[in-house]
Amino acid sequence: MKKLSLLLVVMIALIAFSSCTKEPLPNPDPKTMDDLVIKDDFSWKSTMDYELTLQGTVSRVVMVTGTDGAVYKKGLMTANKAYVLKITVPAYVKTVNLKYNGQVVELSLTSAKMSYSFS
Amino acid sequence: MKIYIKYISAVGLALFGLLMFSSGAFAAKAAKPTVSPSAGTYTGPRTITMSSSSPGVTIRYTTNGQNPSETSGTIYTGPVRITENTTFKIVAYGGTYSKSSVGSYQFKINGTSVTTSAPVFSPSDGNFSSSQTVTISSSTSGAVIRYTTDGTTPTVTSGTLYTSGISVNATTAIKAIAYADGYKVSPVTSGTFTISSQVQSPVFSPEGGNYNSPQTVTIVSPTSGASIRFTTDGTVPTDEVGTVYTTPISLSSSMTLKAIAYKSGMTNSYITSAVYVLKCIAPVFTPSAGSFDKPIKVTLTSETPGATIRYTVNGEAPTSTSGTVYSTQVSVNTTMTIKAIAYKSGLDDSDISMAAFALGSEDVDNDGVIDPEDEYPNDPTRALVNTFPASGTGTLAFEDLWPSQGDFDLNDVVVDFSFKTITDGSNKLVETYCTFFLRATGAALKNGFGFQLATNSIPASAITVSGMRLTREYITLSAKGTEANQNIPTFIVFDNAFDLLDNPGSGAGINTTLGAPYVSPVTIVLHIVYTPGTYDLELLDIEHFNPFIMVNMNRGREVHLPDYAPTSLADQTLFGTSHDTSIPGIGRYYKTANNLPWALITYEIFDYPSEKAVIMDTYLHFAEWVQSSGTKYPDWYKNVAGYRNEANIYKH
Repeated sequence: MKKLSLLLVVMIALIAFSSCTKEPLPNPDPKTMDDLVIKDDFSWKSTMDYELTLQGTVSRVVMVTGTDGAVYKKGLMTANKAYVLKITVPAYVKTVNLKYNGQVVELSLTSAKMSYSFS
Repeated sequence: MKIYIKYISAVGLALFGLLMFSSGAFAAKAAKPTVSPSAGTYTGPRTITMSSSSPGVTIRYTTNGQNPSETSGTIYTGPVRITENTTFKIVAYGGTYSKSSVGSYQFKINGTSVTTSAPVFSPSDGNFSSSQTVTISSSTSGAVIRYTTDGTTPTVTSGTLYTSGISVNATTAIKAIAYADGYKVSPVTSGTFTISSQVQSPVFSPEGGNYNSPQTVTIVSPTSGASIRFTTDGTVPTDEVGTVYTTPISLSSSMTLKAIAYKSGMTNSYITSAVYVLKCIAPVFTPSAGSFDKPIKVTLTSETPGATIRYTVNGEAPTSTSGTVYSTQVSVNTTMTIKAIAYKSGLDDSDISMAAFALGSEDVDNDGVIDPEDEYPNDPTRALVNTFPASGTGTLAFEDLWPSQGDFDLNDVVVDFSFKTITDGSNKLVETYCTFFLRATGAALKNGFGFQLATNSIPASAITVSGMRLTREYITLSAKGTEANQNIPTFIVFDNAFDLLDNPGSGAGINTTLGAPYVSPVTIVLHIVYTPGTYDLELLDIEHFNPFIMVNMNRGREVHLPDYAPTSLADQTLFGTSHDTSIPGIGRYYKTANNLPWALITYEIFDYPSEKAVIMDTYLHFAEWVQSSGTKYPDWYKNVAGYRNEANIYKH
């Protein structure tokens, strides 16, 4: 019981401490590059990575395209076998089209790993 | 004898008194120093003044609890700003006074969230053709302003106290802060006042680009009082040639607009040039091209309002006068290619759209990919092509002073890139064509360029590469063309940019100085061939390739994108020196203490800044993108209205 109480106190202290950690605020009016407030973990990338797991009933080429027609990835998908592919898209792209065997499916990019099965 | 003794005693007493007086033993004590405002509790920082009613005294004080003396403590020279609880102990001494008693004054400072309003410059910073008197103000009542002109950041104890307008006769960067009792210190206001005798380049609005309706273009020169002349026939305007700009220009057809600004007593501006394409948007097919097991109906549309569409299915190119006028869906009952065009009065005809629709499932080369989907239907070793970036071309932009911080114009080496990877019918790698387009080298240093794969999932022994442009002798290659002594396959594209781009003889570097002669970029294509049928496309992971430059033919001095690891041949003793704060143990690489990089990558084409034009001042949303960790303006690098300072973009 004593150990449990001690553990609780430590956990509460940790939570309280971490909740006091403040994120650096952006400089609203930077005049030079050195004025920029940049987080340590900023990747400096203008793209996002996604992993898609796709499946279909016939062996056909599947294409992942942007709504502007840009082709991010294409490959042959073997019938009834999961096909895992990775795409890297501009960070502002939030929707892609999956094209397969005459079907066009719009997929919202809401997660780093997504899956879709064609009928 | 008694009289004699009395006389001696009186004289001795007088001498003693004189001695004591001259030694100060009988000097009056200085008045105990006082403070203003008086000791007590306050909200927010305060500025404390110390004084003594005894004239000519020196005041010393401490804040560490020790009593000051004539030889210890800080000599008071002016008001002291305190931001936290502070107890002053103060004495006065000197002149005709002996040391005062010690005054002790306790100030309790409670926190405040109110910040002094940041200083404001008038006129605002910018470009001027003559000397300026810059005034600085803060809207916070009673605020004190300090400023610097040497690049350092002023504080409440450093910098010049602002009292009256600053005379700026040459290009000067001013930094200023303001602070007031009860308020936090303001943010730093920085401004560069550029005094130049050259008229600033004209700016077009809207910018050049593709439009699907007639446009009205406004031209302005940021230089007050400048006149503008323009041409629309491709000729170069001067202060005597071209049409004098008075009202916005109506564009009813595609053209190249060029303009110059000029003003008496000043050097003419650089020429601004932009191409306006007024063109219908090409038709789009729904569904898009592909293979289908059964007949379909295809819809054609153009985003140009009111445009007419014509199409063909016999292979001929449609025009505004030939082909079938589209009115209803096109039936696809057999394998066919549809070509379509959109046109409208007052606009150029659109490009021709083309889409192949295949019915059936024949596979002539028997590679597992049916012919309508096979990009090499007669080649059993090849089937599909993947291009990265999907947009066709991306751009890499480097600074080369690493490990010292550069000037952030990011044009010391500018290379466009594109990878075209071909796979077989089992998604196994066949070959990759790596196309690099060396656009600029704004450096004096002889820099090389290369890249490394993201991982060693594909060993160098499985790779053969050709096409490198190596003219110096500091690179060692393996027998198959990758760089020797690397633990991840590494490709050196060129080893000296100056051996590829000839220096035009003027301007800093090549293709970075506005107005300097333009040198045609150079295309380099590396051809990588993999051991057939062995490695999956996904193992290549070309989306995460690791590009780098090698500075001044020093093989070990690599500069990579931020947080991209160095190769096996990098000189790791440079990490943590000068402005670099790399920490290999945690995967932190090529960042300054403020997390600034030495290189950037965009996955679409990027127009780089001209010489000395800072990226942040060139792309107007760059700072927001960076400070939001990429969540705001992820398309900051695009040529979109309001995104760029056109005067800072390199143009030729």
